[in-house]
Amino acid sequence: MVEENRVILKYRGQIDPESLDDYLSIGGFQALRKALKMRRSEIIGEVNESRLRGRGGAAFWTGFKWESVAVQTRRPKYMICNSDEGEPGTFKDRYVWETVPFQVLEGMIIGAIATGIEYGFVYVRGEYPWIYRRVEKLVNILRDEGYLGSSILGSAYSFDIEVVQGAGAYVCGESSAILESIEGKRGGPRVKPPRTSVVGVFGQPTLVQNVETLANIPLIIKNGGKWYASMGTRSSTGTRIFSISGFVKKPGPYEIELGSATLGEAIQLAGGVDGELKGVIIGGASGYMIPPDFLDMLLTMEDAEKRGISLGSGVIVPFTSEISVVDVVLNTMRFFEHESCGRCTPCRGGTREIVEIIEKLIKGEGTKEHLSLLERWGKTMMNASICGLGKSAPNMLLSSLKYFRNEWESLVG
Amino acid sequence: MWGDFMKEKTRVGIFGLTCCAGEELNITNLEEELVDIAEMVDIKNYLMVQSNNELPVDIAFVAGFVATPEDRKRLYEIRENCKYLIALGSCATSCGGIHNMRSRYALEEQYSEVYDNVKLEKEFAPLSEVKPLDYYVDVDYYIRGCPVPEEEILYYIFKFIRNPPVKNELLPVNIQTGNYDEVRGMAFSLDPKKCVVCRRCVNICQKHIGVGAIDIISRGGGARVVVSTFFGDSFENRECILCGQCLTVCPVGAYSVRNDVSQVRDILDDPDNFVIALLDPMACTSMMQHFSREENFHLFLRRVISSLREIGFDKVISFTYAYHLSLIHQARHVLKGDEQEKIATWCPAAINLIRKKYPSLLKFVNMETEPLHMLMSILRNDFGKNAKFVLITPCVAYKNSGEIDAVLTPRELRHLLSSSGVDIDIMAPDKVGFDRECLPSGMMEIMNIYPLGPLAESLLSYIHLFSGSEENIQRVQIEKGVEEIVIRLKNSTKRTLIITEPRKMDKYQESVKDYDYIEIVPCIGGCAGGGGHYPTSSFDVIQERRSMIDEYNNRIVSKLSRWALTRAYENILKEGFRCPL
Amino acid sequence: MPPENDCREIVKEIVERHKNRKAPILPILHDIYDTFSYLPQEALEEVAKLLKIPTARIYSTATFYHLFSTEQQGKYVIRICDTLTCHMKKNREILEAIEKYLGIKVGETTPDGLFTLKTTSCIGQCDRAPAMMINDKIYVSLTPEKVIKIIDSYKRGES
Repeated sequence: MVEENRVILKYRGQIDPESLDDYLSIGGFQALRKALKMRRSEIIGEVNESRLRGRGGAAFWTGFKWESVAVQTRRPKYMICNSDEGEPGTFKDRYVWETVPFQVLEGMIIGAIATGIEYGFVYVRGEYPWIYRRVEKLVNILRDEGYLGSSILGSAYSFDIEVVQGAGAYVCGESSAILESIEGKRGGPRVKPPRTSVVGVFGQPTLVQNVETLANIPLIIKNGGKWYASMGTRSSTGTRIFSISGFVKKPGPYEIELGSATLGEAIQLAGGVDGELKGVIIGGASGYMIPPDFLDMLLTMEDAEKRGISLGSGVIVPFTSEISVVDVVLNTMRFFEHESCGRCTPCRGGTREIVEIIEKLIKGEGTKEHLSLLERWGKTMMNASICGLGKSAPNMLLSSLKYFRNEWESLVG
Repeated sequence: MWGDFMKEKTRVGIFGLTCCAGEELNITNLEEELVDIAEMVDIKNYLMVQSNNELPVDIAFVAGFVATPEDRKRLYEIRENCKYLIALGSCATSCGGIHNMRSRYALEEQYSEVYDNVKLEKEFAPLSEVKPLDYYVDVDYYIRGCPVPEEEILYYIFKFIRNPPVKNELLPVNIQTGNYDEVRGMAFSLDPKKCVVCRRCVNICQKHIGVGAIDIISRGGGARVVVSTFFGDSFENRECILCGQCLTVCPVGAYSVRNDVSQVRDILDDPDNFVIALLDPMACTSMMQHFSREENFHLFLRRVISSLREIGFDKVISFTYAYHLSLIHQARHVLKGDEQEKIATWCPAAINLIRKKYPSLLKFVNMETEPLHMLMSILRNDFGKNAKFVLITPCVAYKNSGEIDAVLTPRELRHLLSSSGVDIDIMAPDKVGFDRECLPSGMMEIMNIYPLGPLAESLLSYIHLFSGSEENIQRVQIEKGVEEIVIRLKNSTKRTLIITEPRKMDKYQESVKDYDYIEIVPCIGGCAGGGGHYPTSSFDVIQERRSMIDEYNNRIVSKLSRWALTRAYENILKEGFRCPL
Repeated sequence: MPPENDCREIVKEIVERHKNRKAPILPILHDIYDTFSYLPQEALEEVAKLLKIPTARIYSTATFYHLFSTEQQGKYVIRICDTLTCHMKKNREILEAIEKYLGIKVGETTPDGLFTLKTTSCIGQCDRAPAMMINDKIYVSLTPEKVIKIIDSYKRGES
């Protein structure tokens, strides 16, 4: 029977997350002390050796990202901890904040030291107000205790953090949209290039990292990159916290070593399906709808890619036969319609058009040609949208048309 | 289902409601292919071509739009008697095409304009609303174009012979904004229903002008996002400087200028009024480009002048006089080093910019030297109480001026003339040209020269004239959108700063003390790119307007003998030119 | 609508509170929202004036985010999550129960000005679906009965 490998969530429920003493007692800030004595290239070297990939959804190589910001000579440089966690189905970052919040901040400080950054923002989504208050409180504690400020633990490094609260916009989780939001404008993603590592917030080089990614950093520095890479597979090292909800008996966060479990085994870990399994939504609303054939797929980034899907932010939502596929897809497209920033026509127009077509199909006024029209709209959005939202919004629609076509076809004559 | 129809030939009908019959005619232009088509399908209804016309049909191509109740009845009849209705051509597919231009005015108003006193009988009246076909019936397919190119018609006919049209394919995407009110203003208004959120207006206001009076509001797919001011407030109440660059860049015509045409008509109709047109030659440039077959700008200008006289203007005076009045006055004071006259006042939008964004610089602005103000103080004096003044200018900011009785942009002038039955192209060029009132002769022609700008150049020529020194002018571009012109005189050096990208003024507001004259030009291309012109996205078109004025200026200068030029300038020197200040 | 002078004074104080931030706009808007339960036009005007930014820009920001509102709302804003897991877990029943109990539809405010009912995108409580927020508080694992009890407690002023 597959088990969780709690690396980040090890002390869940065992320590007071807001107590610095508790965190120190489990080895907290040892990594920071170690990092202060290392050279910048050594720190980045450990992260490179760990082969850690971003946990926000894009799975970009973290060490490489750090390097690309470290080499920027323009000052000042900024860092952003992206805690917008808006992807439907995702709640892992919330659990990280509720277990070891200091670990995330420690990871941020280490990242700042390694890349020459002196100011950072933690952007907490507006729907987690208690977490925003907690992070503010902890940042103040760290400042008082000398872990933040003009001289970190007496060293020559300086780093300070400002906590910003979001206000209800999924698109602000996108790495260039979060910059616009912090600058006080509407959170519309930017056209890239230039990349955010070159021109980021306030026009300066910026490093944007997800909460879970940063939570891994102190462990990597403390135990070594090699240790981290010894878990998981070659392309998907370490553990990931999967947000399993839906029709499972024990919904919640499950930290699983990548490659140690298949999709089906992960679902079993969460207590198994409560009813007859029809399919699984994987990756979130911008993820895919897959049939039970995928249960034997190993949970790694490369295995998902091989089968034409992606793990996204680690959402797993099994659903049973009482759920209508078309209804879920319609709900998802309505979500994207609300969340589209409205900047580019493929997304602004596409989300609306797709919703209208699906509504027509449900009313019984659709034809077979509408199904091919949906596919065309989906492909257009994927090719022509400026940002990830528009590009991945049609994923669920297209995968459901591929794997659950009979349900769509039952709506047309 | 479609296969059944192949056994019998598909029945096709080609219809036109109220239209120019262009689409129907275009199909006959298919000539050779038409014979093949006639063999493959059964053309049951094609009024233009055959006398035996029947319903029902399988596919109906319908062109034109619904103008009268009869059209509407016919459209319903066609819809009931066909399987697939295809809207053909711009009038049928989109907003009603050309005919939609009449929907801006009330039906009664138009009726009385065309038919004078004939009563509008409800029974025979056209519909007051102009709507596309899909407002009345379900449309299965849209083929847009005016006219639809022949190759496309062929493509679609052959396509539909084989397969029925797929409903909603190639529909115009519903991205236009709804549920927002118009943003009204004294100078122009924004209709959110037409906006396609291309952001050109927002970008130019934020990045070129540096003001940002408009921005993108709200979020979401479909029709939720719109361009607006703060809570939809009037432009002039907010940061807007009324330069009108948003009007020039909008590709869908969502911005419309305040229409003064009926007001001017009323002024002209009142027999007690003595009406004077202040005509800015720059206004005529875009008129000639867009609507005239005339190629000689000088002649075109003369035709405009005679058209103005034809519809009832008592005098037509060149607005360039106003610029020269202001320039001459300012030149004197800049030569003296007068701090209060440092910033150019000829551009009303630039003055708005100073007032709203850089109020600390107001101490360098003497509002009395504003050209329109200077000219009006002379003219009101000369012509008395019953005189009414109408300014014809490409400048949208002047619409907010209190000095003048009405302001017409080139488009409005065109509308006024054509609705009065005057075709500029067939009017004989006016023999007199501009009226030479108010200012002493001997320098009239000089005052006709349009200071093409930047105005600083003309200012400097006056300075050079007044100082009597050898000409030594140096022009340096400091950066994009910022230029410096330095003139060395006998006893001093005068430095002028010209900012053609107003956003850069942020950087240079501290340096105002280092310069003797500062000019800000918000419109791209100067007045040739004014907001009241016919919009164009091509800088070549704006350049062309400048060349037209250049040619016009050269013509004036070449006609003047050296003697006349010298005399004129001497007169100016002697202050014989009636400076009102 | 708050009396204008008070509004401007409060906003001045809020802007002053955040003057050391590099990213002050969102915190300022949050504080204004917490004070007035919406973003009044006068407040936004004052923010633009004090921060020297165009009024159109602050309006653009204020209308972009769905947790804010430029129109007056009820004292308690109920946001029912209507995405993915919550949607699959019969949040419709919760929504209908509230609509029936309060007598309003989604988007409307009760006549006594106490409650505004809205739907919202995923609030990250999927493992305890269906879930909702009332102002700053989260309520999870809802049933129609539970939700009525919660709303009642607000009516009685106990929350």
